[in-house]
Amino acid sequence: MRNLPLVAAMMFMSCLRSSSPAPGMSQEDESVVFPEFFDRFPIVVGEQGQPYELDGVILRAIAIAANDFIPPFSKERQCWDRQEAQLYRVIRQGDIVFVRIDANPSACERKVLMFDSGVQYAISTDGRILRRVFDGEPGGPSHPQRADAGAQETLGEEVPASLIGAVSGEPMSPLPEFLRRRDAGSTPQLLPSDVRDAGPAAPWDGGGRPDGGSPTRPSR
Amino acid sequence: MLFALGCSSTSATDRDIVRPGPDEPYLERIPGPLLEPFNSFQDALLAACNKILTKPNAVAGRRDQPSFDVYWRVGSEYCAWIYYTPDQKYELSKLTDQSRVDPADRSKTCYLPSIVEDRRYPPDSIKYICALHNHLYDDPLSVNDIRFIVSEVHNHGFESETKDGVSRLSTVAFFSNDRGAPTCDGFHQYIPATSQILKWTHAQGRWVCEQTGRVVWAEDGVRFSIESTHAPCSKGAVP
Repeated sequence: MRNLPLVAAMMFMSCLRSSSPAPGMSQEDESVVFPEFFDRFPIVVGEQGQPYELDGVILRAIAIAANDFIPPFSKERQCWDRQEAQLYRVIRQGDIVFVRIDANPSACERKVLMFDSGVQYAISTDGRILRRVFDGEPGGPSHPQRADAGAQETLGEEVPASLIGAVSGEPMSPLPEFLRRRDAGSTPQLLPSDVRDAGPAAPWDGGGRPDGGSPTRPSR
Repeated sequence: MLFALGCSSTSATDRDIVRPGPDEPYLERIPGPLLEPFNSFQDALLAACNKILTKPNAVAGRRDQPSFDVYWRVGSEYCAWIYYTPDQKYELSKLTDQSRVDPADRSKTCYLPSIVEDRRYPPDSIKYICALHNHLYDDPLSVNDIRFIVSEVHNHGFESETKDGVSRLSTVAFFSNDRGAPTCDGFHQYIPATSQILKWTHAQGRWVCEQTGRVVWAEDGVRFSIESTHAPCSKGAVP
């Protein structure tokens, strides 16, 4: 019994699989700071009939990242676990090529939602993986909101328990093309305003609501 | 007690959780319900938060706490749907923790089937309200969290009519700050219809909501960026 803590600790640590660096990555350089990948629109490569030219260093960096994230030719893979089912976003800064990889929702049949499946790499221009950070992994901002967290005073508003998760602003108008472009007969639409307005007013702006449970209460 | 720290993130006999067998494809339907029906979305959401965050290794705690990195490494994400039935009830589906296998345990993902299978109701009669998962700590929604709920609009629409008015499809990531005794300390939420990213926090009996971000679409409607904001949730109108 006296050794139980030791046994437990060994069991626990045995759960941690090797976190040794990936092939091509000698030791992660945690001083590398990733740029924001989503604070502006990217230029999309691949328009029909349009010539593009890609620097070999960029191409190699993308290939290194893609092969590290999803090694090629290892075995038969499900659609979502293939390199061609991902999106690759690239930013070059000095001697580092930053590569962000996310699943492409339009690459496979939409039968699953993939939460937190992205990763980003810092690749040196001589082809070494300097750093790799998965979504949610502690170790660096990968998101404008996280980078900004705590930097400003909160503007949060207290919300009644009856409206948790059900407060939001006005809907987008018009809808983005991406959301409107659908197969015939199945275009998603916002519900007509008479339906949307059918619910009672928000209680905290004076309306009061006896049933206490509207899924979403748009601001007026 | 000691064995609670075992290697498997979940018990194989946990009836709340479904997952494919080894080498089987990802589940494309998730069964429901998991709990009793709920009369309000809020009740379903809070029950889901507590249910998910108390699953094994669903919480790593605060980033500044001792052993956080170890707890993060052994952590697991779980995902599920809240849906609305023809009986005018909100239901929680079962949970799944199916994900891409990462040999180094550095990637924490959850693959949620798009379809809920509740044998009591015809498939087309189910309305999809909220796609749920947990983050191991207070961490914003990822780009894929946003991309995939937007793609889900194609399957389930922006909005559904319920007995309580219109419900806007959204996705949520729950978090707790206390690994030892997980409670629902908050969640991040993205609502495609309004493009808002909201952060909800629960402390000292109060729920506070702040808009922390906004998804901005390019004119082509395909590309998007994420803008950091600090605004009240109810004022976050999109131009």
